Parts: sequence; C-alpha cells; structure tokens
Amino acid sequence: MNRRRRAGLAGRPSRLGRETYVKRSRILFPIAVAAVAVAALLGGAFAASGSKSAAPPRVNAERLAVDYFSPNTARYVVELQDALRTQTDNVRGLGLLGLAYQQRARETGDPTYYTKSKGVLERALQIAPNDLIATGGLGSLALSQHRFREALALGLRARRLSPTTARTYGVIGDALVELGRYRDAFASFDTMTRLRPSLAAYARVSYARELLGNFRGAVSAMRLAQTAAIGEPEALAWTAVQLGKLYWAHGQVDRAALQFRYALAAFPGYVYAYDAFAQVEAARGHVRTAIALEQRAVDGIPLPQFVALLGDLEAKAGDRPAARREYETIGVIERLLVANGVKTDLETALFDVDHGIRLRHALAIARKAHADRPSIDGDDVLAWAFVRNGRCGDALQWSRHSLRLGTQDALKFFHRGVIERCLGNRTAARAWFRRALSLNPHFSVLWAPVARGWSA
Amino acid sequence: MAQIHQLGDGSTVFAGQRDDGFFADVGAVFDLVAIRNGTGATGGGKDFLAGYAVHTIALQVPLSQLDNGSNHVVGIWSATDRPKVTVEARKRVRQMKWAQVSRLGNPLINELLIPTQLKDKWNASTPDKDKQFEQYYSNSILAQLLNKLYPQFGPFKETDRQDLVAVLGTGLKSPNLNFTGPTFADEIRLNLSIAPTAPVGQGNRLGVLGGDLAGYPNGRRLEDDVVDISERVVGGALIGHSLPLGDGVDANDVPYMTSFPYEADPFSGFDNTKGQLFPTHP
Repeated sequence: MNRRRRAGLAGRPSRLGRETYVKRSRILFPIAVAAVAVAALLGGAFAASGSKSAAPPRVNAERLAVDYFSPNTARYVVELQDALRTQTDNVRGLGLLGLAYQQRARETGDPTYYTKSKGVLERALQIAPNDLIATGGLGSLALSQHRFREALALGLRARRLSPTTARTYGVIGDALVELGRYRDAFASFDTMTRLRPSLAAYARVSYARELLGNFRGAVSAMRLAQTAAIGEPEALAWTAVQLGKLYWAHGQVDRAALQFRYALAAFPGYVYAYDAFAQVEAARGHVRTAIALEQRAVDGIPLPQFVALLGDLEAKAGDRPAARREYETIGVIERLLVANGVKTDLETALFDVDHGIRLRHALAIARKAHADRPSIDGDDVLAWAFVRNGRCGDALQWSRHSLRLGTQDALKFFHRGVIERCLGNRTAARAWFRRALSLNPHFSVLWAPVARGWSA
Repeated sequence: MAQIHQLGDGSTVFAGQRDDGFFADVGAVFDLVAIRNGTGATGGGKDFLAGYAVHTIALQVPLSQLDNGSNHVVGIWSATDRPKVTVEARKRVRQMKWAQVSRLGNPLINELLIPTQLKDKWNASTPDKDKQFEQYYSNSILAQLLNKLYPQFGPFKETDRQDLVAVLGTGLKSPNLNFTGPTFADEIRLNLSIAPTAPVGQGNRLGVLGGDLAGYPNGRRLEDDVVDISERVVGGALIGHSLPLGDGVDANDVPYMTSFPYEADPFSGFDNTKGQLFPTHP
C-alpha cells in the first residue's frame, strides 16, 4: 500500500495535521510564555462568562492546539468538560475542547471523538459565529473525516476571519491537494510559509515537493521541519518518521531505519515508528520480528492501515487464519469510522482491490471515491480497480493522470506495469516493474514480490 | 567558561545552557491569572521554572557603543527567524532568505494583549509598525479579565488606557524615565544615564514601582519580577489604583552569578529536581 493512503485511513494527518493556533514564543522563557499564553486564552474565555469557580485545565493547551500527542490530553478533556459544565457559553473553552477531542481521536484511534468534536465546535459557532478557533477546528475536523469540500469551505471562511493566520492556509491547501487542485494547493502552502514558517508549513512544502518528484527538496524541507521540532519529543519523532518514510520510498533502507530508531529514542513507544520499523524488518526478511513490531503498533492505536499491514505480514508468514482475522477487524473499524462521519471509500476500494475482494463492487466504490477525491491517489486507485476488473484502456487513462505531476511513487509505477501487461505491452510492463523496484525494492509487502516475478 | 568569547571591540558574548533565570507561578497564572492568597503579594507561590535550564545567548556591550551622549535612551527588541522556502524554487537560491516568526520587547505582549487572529501578523511585523496594534493596549482584555475575576479589587479601567500605551509603547515621561518620542513601538527602553542601583541580582524586584528607577520598565534586569509588575500596572498602578497584585513568587530559585553571563549554572543531570526518587533496595 502506498504510504500516503495508508496514513490516510483514520484521520489523515499524521502527515499534515500539525497546526498552530497559539503562538509559540521561545526567546526568553519558553515554558512560561507558553503557559501564560494559555492562561490568556482560557482565562479570557472563562472570565467572559463571569465565573471563577471553574477548574482550569493544567495541561499545556498549546501542545494540544498544535496537535501534539500529549499523555495528558485525557485529563485535559475532563478538566475542560468540568469547566464547561458551569460555563456553557464559554466559546474558547468549547473551541479548545473541540480540538482536544480531535487530539484524543488521534491518540486512541477512536473516531467517536470526531462526533464529539463536531458537537462542541458547532455549539461554539452558534454562540460566536465568527470564532476563528472553532471555524478552523471544524476545518481540520473535516480533513480528518476526509470531507475535503467541506474542509475547503471552512478554510476559506477562516481565511476571511483572519487572512494573516498561517495555519488556515494549511487547512485550505490540504483540502485542495485531495481535490486534485495542486497549483492552488501549493500556492496556499507558499502563503502559509511566507506568513509563518513552522514545522507544519515545512512539512507541507516537503509533501508538495515530493508530489512533484523533487526528492532532495522534499528531504531538505523535512529537515527544516525537524529543526523546528527540536525540544518537543513527539513532534521530533513525527518528523523523523516522515523523513524516514521519504528515504524508504526511495529505497534508502538504512537511512530510513536510522530515522525510525531516532523517533523511538526521542519519543519511546511511538506507534508510527513501530509501524515503519515493521516494514524495515520485513524488507530484511525478518517477518516474525516485523509482525511483533506491527502488533505493538496495533496495540497502541488500532488504525486500519496498521491492522492491514499486520494481516499482510501474517499472510506472508503463512498464517492465513490470523490474517483473515485482521482483515475482518478492518471492516469493523471502517464501519465505526463511517458511523462517525469519516469517508473511507478510497481506502476501502484500495484494500478490496488489493485483496481481490468483490472486485466489481470495489470498482464502484473507487468511482465514488474518485468523485469525492479527484487527487492523484484517487486516479491511481481508480486505475488499479479498472485493471483488476480487466478494463485496461480505462485503467491506462487514469494511470497517466495519476502520474501527471511527476511523482516518484513505486506503487503507482507498479500499477502502471500491471496495466501495460494487461494491454499486452510486455516490454513496457517490464520497464515499469523495474522502475518501481529500482525506486524502492520493498515498496509493498503484497506487490513487490509480484513485481520482481514479472520484471524478469 | 569556554563559551564566553571576547569580540575584540570590548563586547563579550556567551551562548550555551544556563539555569532559567525567570521565575513565575506558571501553574497559577494558568489558573486564571495567578492570585492565590488575597491579592497575591504575600508569597506562597510555586516557581514553575525552578530547576529548569534554558539555552541562552548573552551579549555584553560597552555603553560607549550605545550612547551617543545626547540621547541616552535605547530601545531593544529581539526576533527569531526561520528559513523561508517555497514549494518550487523560483530561481537558483544563492543565499538563504529568512522570515521572522517571533519577537519580544516587553514581556507577555503577544500572550496577553494581541488577539488570536493577529498573533501571526504581530510576530512577523517590526515594532516601527506597532501603531496598528495600539488599540489592544488601550483597551485591555486583561483589565476586563481582572474585573470579572476580582470585582472585590476593582474596578479596573478597561478602556482608554493611555498609561499602558505609554509604559509599553513610548516610554515614560513622568517620571522622566525613558520616553523615546511619540512613535508607538514595543521595545524594552533603557535609559543609559541611570546608573545601576545595586549589584546584579539585588535590585528592588518591583523596579520602578518599588522606587528603583534602574529596574523594569526601565530596561529589564534578571531580578525584576515582571509578572507582579505587569499585573500591578494593568491593575492601574500608574493611574492611582495601586494594588499589591502578584503571583507569590518573588525571586529566582538560585542566586544569579555576580559576573557575566550572570545567569546561574544549569542544574546537573545528577542533581535534577524533576525526576522521581526510586526507593533503595538491597
């Protein structure tokens, strides 16, 4: 599976979700400044409703507002809820609780937090229709739910409320990427970076450069993101995993492994690093170790992409019953996601096509997904669904479209190879398989071995 | 210390880790502006920053390089920049370009005065263009907050706070301290003709409010208790509404050094105060 789509299932964001409402100032006394900022943020809001009996949250809300993993988010949620019981019209409190719920969703993989987040953010907007935090919060929620047109509309609304707030351009740009409007998306990322270069902005520039096939530029931007994360363990781990995945996607296994190791040293127990490391171990032929690592990731946060890889690894190790169990679990998780407003069509289609499940139906889902999400990933999954249904000509058209940016993506190259093979172009097919393998010999637990067989 | 360098023109620079010389009851400030007992001036606060270290860049510059002999007041502010990048390189980049992402003159301006939707803009802008933010000084949300929280100490003046505009934006004319003219700009203003009144670390913590003209808001010394001073000034100390507001933390947890770079040595890992003691066992 492509790592981006893989990262997409439960809330996208591990890659693009880092956002900032509250200004970070680190010049003189970083800790004090951050916390005082929070005092201003919460204090102002609580005071507005005229009570001082509220139990104020003690966790650094800034970490929350910037989407960091925080071991204290659960407690922070409880404290905000307590405060809001007596101050039901506290707009800032509602906004922060809305963001806290999204953070809980990321930490636990439990999508019911999305529904809760929506509830409190909408209540905040009923009280204060022009509140920037609630508007932006609904925008990032829509991104997490893969409702990209809604996310775009909310991002544009937030932009009208504050044209100089950098993070808003992240919401807008992320939505535009998924809607296939790359030129506008990249312009939005450039605006974001011009207003305030930050970890979030550098990471987006890195992603955009990667889409354009500029590997070195993507690495250098992610290195800047990494420098911007110094001093914040989870953020540092996140950038290390992203950087490692970049190296991984270009076949640089040892460099990738070093970054994954670095992530685990910076932030022990980081599930995304376990997941990434599992792929390294699988590539090195250590399938048992890979399974153990992926199991740790699943135990930490049961994201569908983790469960899917666990199943694929178990299948590779010959344990079909275990693999089947994982695959069934994915169905359950996806139903839970859908029940909480998340659109999973693209991921479902890819999984079903990959695993040969109800292929005609999968094609129908892929078409629907593509209508919602006409990105190059949408193009690619549609192409893959067509070719697996024997419709090689249609597949070719969408494969070409999926590669129109010059993206260097082994899985898309592999899909193209299968399409050329389907069209009877054996030479072209072999060339695409070789291209995929030379870019990343381990691009997929499922398909890299197939590509190797067909490239000869 | 190895990290101290003489620059050859009489200036000295240090870069490295030091004890965090700032002191504040951050936990309580978090709890709605930090007033634990009464008005908060009777101690009992908890120094959140005790035992932490900070990366420090310290510069010591000869007075002769700053004072031209006629105007003794200098304005100082600092900024943090990050490299500027774009998705597509427009042309070959010869030199890295930088973008300002943060600035600091007077303490707590970004945190307490500037509204959420303008924080990025404020942090990217320079003090000479601060006129656009003046309304957030003259109409203080912090004063509104104090009225809501502590009506028993009020009323606190919420609007037309020319005293805040002056002390933070132009410098003070009366007392004749560090006025720099009508241009509104967030800077730390220091009147170089006012000699230090005490050895380093031993000035009156309340600075000008405590009758010590060599302290904040005339410059800012390590020992200046800027949280208490700020709360009192917002409370109206300069316009006849004197209240002993404070966070109950009056000084740093360890003494400052008597020589450059003045901030104390950082805590050693061996003696760190943040970890949890593990019981001994045979």
